[in-house]
Amino acid sequence: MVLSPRVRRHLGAYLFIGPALFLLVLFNIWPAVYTAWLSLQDYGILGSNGFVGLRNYVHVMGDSLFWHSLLVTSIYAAGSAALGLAGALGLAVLVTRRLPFMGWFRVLYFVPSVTSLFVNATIFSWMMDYNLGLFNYWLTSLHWQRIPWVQQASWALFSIILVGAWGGVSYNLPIYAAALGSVNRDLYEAAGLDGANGWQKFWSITLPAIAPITRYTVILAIIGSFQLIASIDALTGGGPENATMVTIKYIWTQGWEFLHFGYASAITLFLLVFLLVVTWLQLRSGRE
Amino acid sequence: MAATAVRPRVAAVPVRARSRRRFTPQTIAVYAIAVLALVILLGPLVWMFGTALKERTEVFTWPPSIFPKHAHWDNFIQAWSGAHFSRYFLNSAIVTLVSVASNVLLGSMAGYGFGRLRFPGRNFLFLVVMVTLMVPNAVLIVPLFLMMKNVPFTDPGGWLNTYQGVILPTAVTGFSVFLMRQFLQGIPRELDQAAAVDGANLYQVFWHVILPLTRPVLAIIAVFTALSRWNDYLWPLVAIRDPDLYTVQIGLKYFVGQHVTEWNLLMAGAVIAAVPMLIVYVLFQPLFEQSLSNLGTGLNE
Repeated sequence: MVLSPRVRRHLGAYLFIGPALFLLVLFNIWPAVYTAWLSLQDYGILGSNGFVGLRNYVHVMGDSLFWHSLLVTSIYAAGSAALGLAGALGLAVLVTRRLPFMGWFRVLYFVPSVTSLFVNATIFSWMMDYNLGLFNYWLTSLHWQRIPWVQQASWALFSIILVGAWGGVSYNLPIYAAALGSVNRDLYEAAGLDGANGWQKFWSITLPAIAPITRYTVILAIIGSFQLIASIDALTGGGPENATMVTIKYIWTQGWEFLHFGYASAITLFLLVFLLVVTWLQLRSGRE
Repeated sequence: MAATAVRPRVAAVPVRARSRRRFTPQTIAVYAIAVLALVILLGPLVWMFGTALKERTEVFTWPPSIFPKHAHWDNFIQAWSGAHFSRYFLNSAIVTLVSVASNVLLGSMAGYGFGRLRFPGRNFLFLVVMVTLMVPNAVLIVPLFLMMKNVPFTDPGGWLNTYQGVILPTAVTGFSVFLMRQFLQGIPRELDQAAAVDGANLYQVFWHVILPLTRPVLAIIAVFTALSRWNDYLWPLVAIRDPDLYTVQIGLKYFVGQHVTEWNLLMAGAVIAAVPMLIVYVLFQPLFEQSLSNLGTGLNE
């Protein structure tokens, strides 16, 4: 068989992109389609027990624990993103000052992003231990009450948010530091000549200039929040009284504890659509 | 190669002169906040190392000390051999190294295809790659679990509890392809065109021209793949039930469940899980900064 040189060139190109494209479609695109199909089945550990139409979705709509998990995850996302991003931006302003040793601080601040979420959360579960933990040691030495950091429903989500914010500061700091470095210096000088002080410069020059980065970090933080399970597993396991039952932990519970994979698929699809809408809204707000 | 990458630094002399002039209350406040932030961000990790070296009874003493009087290195031996962390460590190393190799190879091949070659459907297929970047891993666990369980022509259980089951879903990521393509677009085409004119075929151009030129981005792909795979939690948790195949993160999870009060051993396990990536960070720190800032500025465009 004789192929023209052009066709041969095309075939060569497909050989280069083929393996990666095959794996990406098989393990990223196809699962989404497969989830949609699964969500229409009564699917247990042994396979499908039959087609049930939209019954799983009807159940999801009326499942108060699912809506509760979305609320918990949203509170976590808002809390940890607000604290984490504000902290990262504040520290980035600090370390981009031209002072000695700031480069060292910058390098060290990133270390918690190198250790895994599960390791970090395990350390916090030790520090938040009710009887022996460091946090309650400090509180009792100040003659205050011990705090049931992860033992009581009213505190648990707050504690998880603290751990998330701690990691968020570390992870987002280099992103903000790079963004600050690329802001046009002339703008600050011009504003300085007009008599603007540091805060005015920050609000009217820095923040607008880094808005695209902020949008990006917010999307990343939201998507990250909806995948958060490591620190839940290490600190609370979703409890107490479902106070930290995030959506992904609920999917896990439905799938791997109750073996309702069809139902878990319906929740997964809700989650996927929800995340795509959030991402799309964020990106759209940037265009205006 | 990576460690020699030069970071732009402000010239030392003017900075010193300036800082002496500006040794003001404001500067002191800046350093005070910087040190406080350092304690908050690194304190927990220091506490982990300190606890890992304590004797069991020392963990319970009040007031607690950061480091014990006598370091009990045998905690690490106990975690390493007694709690099978050596096995978990090996599993994580296998998963991580294979993933790094496949991401570098397949990612750079596809990135080269999309960045340099012309073929029908190129834009559409690249859009497909970009879409995979938008799909969060969390929404994949249920379908991926059932796909791996039902791999055709396998025993019941499929590829669950196998290395390939853990590795394959992230054997190449859209991120690796995207980084390579973006980097290639910043390199003049003359070099590979010259090689092609000299009669080199696609494979030769890729191997002898493109790969040497793209070493910096290959290093970034390698480091980021290593970091994400070593620290991965959700997918190994789903795909592995056999303790012989636990990765370090999953081993640590079940270790936590069994040794609730032995915090010194738990922290020794956490140290074992953390140290390899800490070493990678020390060796390749400039790469981390470059790639994170590239991500940010790349999105600006």
